[in-house]
Amino acid sequence: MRIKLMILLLAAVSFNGCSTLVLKPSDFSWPVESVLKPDKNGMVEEDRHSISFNTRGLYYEEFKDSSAATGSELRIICDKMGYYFLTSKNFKNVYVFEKNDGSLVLEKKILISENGIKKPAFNQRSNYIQLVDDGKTYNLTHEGIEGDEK
Amino acid sequence: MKLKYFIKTFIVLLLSGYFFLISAQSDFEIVESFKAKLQKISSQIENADSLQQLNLVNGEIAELEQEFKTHKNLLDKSLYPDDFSKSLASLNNEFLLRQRDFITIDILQTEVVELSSQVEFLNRRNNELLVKIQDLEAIRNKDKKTIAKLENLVADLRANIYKRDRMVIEMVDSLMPPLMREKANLTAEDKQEIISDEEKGNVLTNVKRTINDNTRFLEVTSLKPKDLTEIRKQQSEFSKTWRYIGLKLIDVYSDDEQKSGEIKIIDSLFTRWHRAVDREAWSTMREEFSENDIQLQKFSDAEQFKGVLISFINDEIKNIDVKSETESKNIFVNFVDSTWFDSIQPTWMPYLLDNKLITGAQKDEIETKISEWKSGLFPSMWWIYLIIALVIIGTIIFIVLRRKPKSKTEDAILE
Repeated sequence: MRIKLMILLLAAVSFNGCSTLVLKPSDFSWPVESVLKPDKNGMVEEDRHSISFNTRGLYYEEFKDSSAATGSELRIICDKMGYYFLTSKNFKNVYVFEKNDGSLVLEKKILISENGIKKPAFNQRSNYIQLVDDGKTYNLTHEGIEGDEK
Repeated sequence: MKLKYFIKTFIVLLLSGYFFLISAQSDFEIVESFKAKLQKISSQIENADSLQQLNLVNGEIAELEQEFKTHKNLLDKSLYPDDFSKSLASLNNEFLLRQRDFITIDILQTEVVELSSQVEFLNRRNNELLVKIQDLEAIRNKDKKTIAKLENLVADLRANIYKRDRMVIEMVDSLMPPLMREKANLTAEDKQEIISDEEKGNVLTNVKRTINDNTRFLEVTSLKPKDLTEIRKQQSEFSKTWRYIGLKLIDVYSDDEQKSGEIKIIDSLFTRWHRAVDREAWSTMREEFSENDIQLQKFSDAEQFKGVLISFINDEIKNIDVKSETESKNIFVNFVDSTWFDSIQPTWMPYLLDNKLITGAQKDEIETKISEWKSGLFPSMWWIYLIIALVIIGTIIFIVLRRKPKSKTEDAILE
């Protein structure tokens, strides 16, 4: 019994020492999407929010061709929780990334259309990111499409 | 009842469709469309050629505000570092600034045209007056009536020339609105605007005519230092305005040989006018000596003036024993009392010294020579005064000596 009590106390003290400081509430949302053009190395740079990253891996994932980045327009928006939503014309998917240790790590790949998205545009909405594609809208979160296609 | 239900359903469907369309719009496109329209209007303001063209833009600003009012929240967040209201305010400000430019240009253009017609009238009137003055000046023995008439005409002409000068200065000044003056390099549009204004007001011709008339006025009239001081002041103002605008005009007319030539002529006319004002003082002073029967050689600067006067006095000193005393003294009185001390020294010397046309040393040299002349003509009588003084002293001593023995006798009697 004494041993059990000791272990319990030790665990409590250890967990207390490991507790993380959390600042709440936070809002990372961008008011409007950014449309970026990758350079010849596949790099994009967003000036207002000071973010830059290489897109070649994304294009390879989507088209199995990293050179497809050249000449395309990548659309990006950040939601309230800090997830980055990326897509481009002819993409089948919307990619959801989160920042981690100096890189963007894929959180979710959301399939929108097997035929490819024709005219994508992201809008910031209070609880989700709206994807507009040629009149159709999709409400997206980092977990996937919210509700049904309209 | 069915109809009402049908209408309600129709309205709901219509509104749903509208909201659907609204919600299906890309925020990015809205923001970009607003930015593009803002930029387009801004360019229209900048490139407007006239006030009428600019006023058309005013309506577009109002339309832009109306069109994007519903997206104010989105634009406020997206137009970093500005917002919707600031962007429109900045556009309105651009509009007002440009409008002010056009209003200023409009006013200046009207001024140039109005001034041009007034200057034309004064040009004709001044020419008539100059001819009349020349005719009257040509009359050798002028009676009082003629002199009075001449003086009135000269006063009229002087006032007219002053008035016309002011107008031409304003015309020259109006060629370049303040905003244009600040520019280091004039644009092709600026140059065209100046050329058009210059042609409307015939400005270069009027400047030439004004300077010529001023020079001619100096040639046909004899002016007093007070008038010359005023003329110098106006001349300086005119030259200053011309120096600034003239330099810019050289740039404007760099491709026009005829106009460039006219600008060079104007520069040389200014030099001539400056010399004429300087010369006017010397020639009027010579006339004043002449009016008192002192005929002097011509002089046109201080060194010549000093040389001519000293040479005249030296001749007179040499001739003291040759000429009769009365004649020599008459010449001295006319020169020194009636001209030098009556007019040259009190009236002209302050003007000459103030305008650095003569130095104090040159003036002193002349006055020393006048004293020498006076001494030669009126030799000092010091020896007579000495004899008189000696006689007086001798008399006093004599009286004192004569009185002393008498006193001693009186003292002896008393004892």
